[in-house]
Amino acid sequence: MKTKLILFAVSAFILLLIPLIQIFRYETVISKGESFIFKCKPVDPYDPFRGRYVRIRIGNEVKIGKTAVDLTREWSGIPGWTWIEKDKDGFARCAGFSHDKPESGGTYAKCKLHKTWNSKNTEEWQVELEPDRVFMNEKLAPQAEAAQRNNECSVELKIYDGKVVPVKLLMNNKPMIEQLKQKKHEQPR
Amino acid sequence: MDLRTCKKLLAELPTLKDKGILDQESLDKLTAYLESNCDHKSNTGKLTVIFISIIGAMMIGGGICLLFAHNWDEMGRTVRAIISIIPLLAGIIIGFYVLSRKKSIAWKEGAGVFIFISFMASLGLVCQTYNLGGELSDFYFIVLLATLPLPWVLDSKGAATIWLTVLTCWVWTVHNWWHTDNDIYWFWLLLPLGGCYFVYAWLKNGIALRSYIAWILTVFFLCVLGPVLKTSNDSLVFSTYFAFFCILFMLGSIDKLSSQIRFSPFSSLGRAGALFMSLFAINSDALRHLAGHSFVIPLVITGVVAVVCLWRTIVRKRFELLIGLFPFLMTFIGSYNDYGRELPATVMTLLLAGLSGVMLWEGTKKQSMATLNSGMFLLCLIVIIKFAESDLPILIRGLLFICVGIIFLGVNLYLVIKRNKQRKLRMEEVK
Repeated sequence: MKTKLILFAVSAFILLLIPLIQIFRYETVISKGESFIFKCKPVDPYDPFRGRYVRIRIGNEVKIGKTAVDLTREWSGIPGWTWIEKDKDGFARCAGFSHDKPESGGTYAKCKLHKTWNSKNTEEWQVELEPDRVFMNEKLAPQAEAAQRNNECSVELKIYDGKVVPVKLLMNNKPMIEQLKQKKHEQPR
Repeated sequence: MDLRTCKKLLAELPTLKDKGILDQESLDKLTAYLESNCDHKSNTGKLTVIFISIIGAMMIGGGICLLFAHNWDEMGRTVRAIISIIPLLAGIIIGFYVLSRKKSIAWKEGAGVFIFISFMASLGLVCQTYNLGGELSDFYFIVLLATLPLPWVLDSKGAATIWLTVLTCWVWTVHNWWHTDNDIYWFWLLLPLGGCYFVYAWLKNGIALRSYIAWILTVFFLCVLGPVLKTSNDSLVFSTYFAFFCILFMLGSIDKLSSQIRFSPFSSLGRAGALFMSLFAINSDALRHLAGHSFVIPLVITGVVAVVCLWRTIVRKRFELLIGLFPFLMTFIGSYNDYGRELPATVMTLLLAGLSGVMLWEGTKKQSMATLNSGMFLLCLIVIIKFAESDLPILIRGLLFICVGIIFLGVNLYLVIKRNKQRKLRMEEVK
C-alpha cells in the first residue's frame, strides 16, 4: 500500500504540475511582456472542452525572399519565428519569417507560415501567430462576431521571450467586452 | 435465488442437519453451493455500487465546472487561475484519503474518475484564462500522457475507460486532411501503455468485468482502426477491418474464452461485420477504389488471419470459420488490377455462394434451423446485391426473386417435415 501511495503522490504531483507550469509561464509573459495591438476579425466557434471563444487570426502577408521552405506543408503551416514591428498608427504587424529562433534584437514570436491566394489570384505567403483565440462568455461571443462587421476590432497581446498571450479584445480602441455588456444593458427588455 | 434467500437457507442448514434431514456430505455440498451463490450475488451488488460511484463522480466533477462557469467573467485573472486548480486539488486529496484508509473499490473508482475529470477541467480552465489556442488533439495528448498512471495507482476501471475514450477522441481529431504531421504514429506507443491495464484487469477480475472489458475493447478498435490506418491507403483500411471482424468471429468460436464472458461481443459482432464486409466486396463498384493499391501489409495481416482461421476450421470442424480466408483472397485477387475490377467481385460472389451452400448442407445434416436459415439469408443477400447492379429486365428479376423465395420456404418446409417424421419414429420406438 505504501508503494501505491508513493506512486499516487508522484502521479498527483505531475497532474498538478502541468496546469501550474502553464499558469507560471503565462503569468510571466503577462507581467514582463511588451504590449502590442494587432488588427483582427473575430469569428465565433466552439471548443467542447475549453468552451466558447472568438477566433482571431493574427497575421499578415510577408515576403520570404530566398528562405527555403518545406513545400509539402505549405497549406498546413510551416512552424517558425517572426519579428513584431509597430507601424505609424501604433498597430503591430509581423515582419519576415525565420526557421530558427532569433538570438537577439527586437520582439519575436512563434508563428506558422502559410501559402495563400490574394485577390489577383497570385500566390503569397502569410505568417500567423500561434494564439488564435480569445475565450468569451457564450452570450457575448456571437455578439463580438456581429460587432466586427461595423467596427474596427483589434486584440492586445503580451509578448515575452517568443511567447504570446492574448490579453483582451478591443473595439474602436476600447475594451470590447465592456462595450458589449453595456450595449446589452441598454437594450430595451 | 436472491441474496436474502441464500443467506436464510445458509442459516437454516445446521438445524436441518440436527433434525437428520441432511447428512454431513449433503450439508457440505449445499453450503459450498449456497456460499458461492451468495458471493456471486454480492459481487453484482458491488458492481452496482461501483457503477453508481462512477456516475456520481462524473456528475459532481461536471457540476463543479458548471458552478465555476457561473460568474466566471466577473472574476479576475488570478482568481480564475486559482479556481482552475481547486477541483484537481480536491480530487488529489480524495485520492490520498481513499488510498491511505484502504477504502473499497467503489471509492477508488469514484476517486479515479473524479481526478481524471477534474484534471481535464483544470487544464481547460487554464487554457480559457490565458486564451491558449492550439489544436484540440494537443489538449487530448497532454491529458493522455499525464493520466496514464491513474488507472494503475487507483485500480480504477472507470478512469481507464475514460482514458480509452480520450484516446479515441485524440485519434479522431489528430486525423484530418490538413494535419500532415505523423502524430498518429504515437497511437502505437500509447495503445500498449494504456492497454496493458486492461490485460491486468482481465486477469484479475471475474466474468462481469471481463465482459465489460471485451465490449469496451471491441468498440474501441472498431472506432479507431479506420482513422489510424487511413494515413496509408483505403485498401489497408478495408482489409484490416475485414480481418478484424474475422478475428472477432474466430475469438467467439473459442469456447474457453466464451465461457469467461457474458453476452460476448465477439461472435455476434464478428459474424455481422465479416458478412457485411463480404457483401460489400461482392459489389464491383464498391471495390473500384480499393483495387490496385500497395498490398504487402494488407496481405500480411489478412494472411495471418487466414492461416489461424483455417487451422481453427480444421481442428474444430467449424466451416463457418472459412470466412476468415475471404479477406486474404480478397486482398490477393483485388491487387491484380489488370484483370479489371469485375474479377475480385466475381470471385467473392462465388466464395460467398459456396459458404452459404456449406451452411445449407450443414443445417440440413444437423437439422439446425438457425444454420439453415443463416445460409438461406446469406444467399438471398447475394442475390439482391448482384441483381441490384445487373442490367436484367425487371420481369426476370421479379421471377428470380420469386424462385429464391420458393426455395427459401421449400427448404424450411422440407426440414420441418423431416424433423416431424423422425420425432414420430422415435415416439413409436419408445412405445
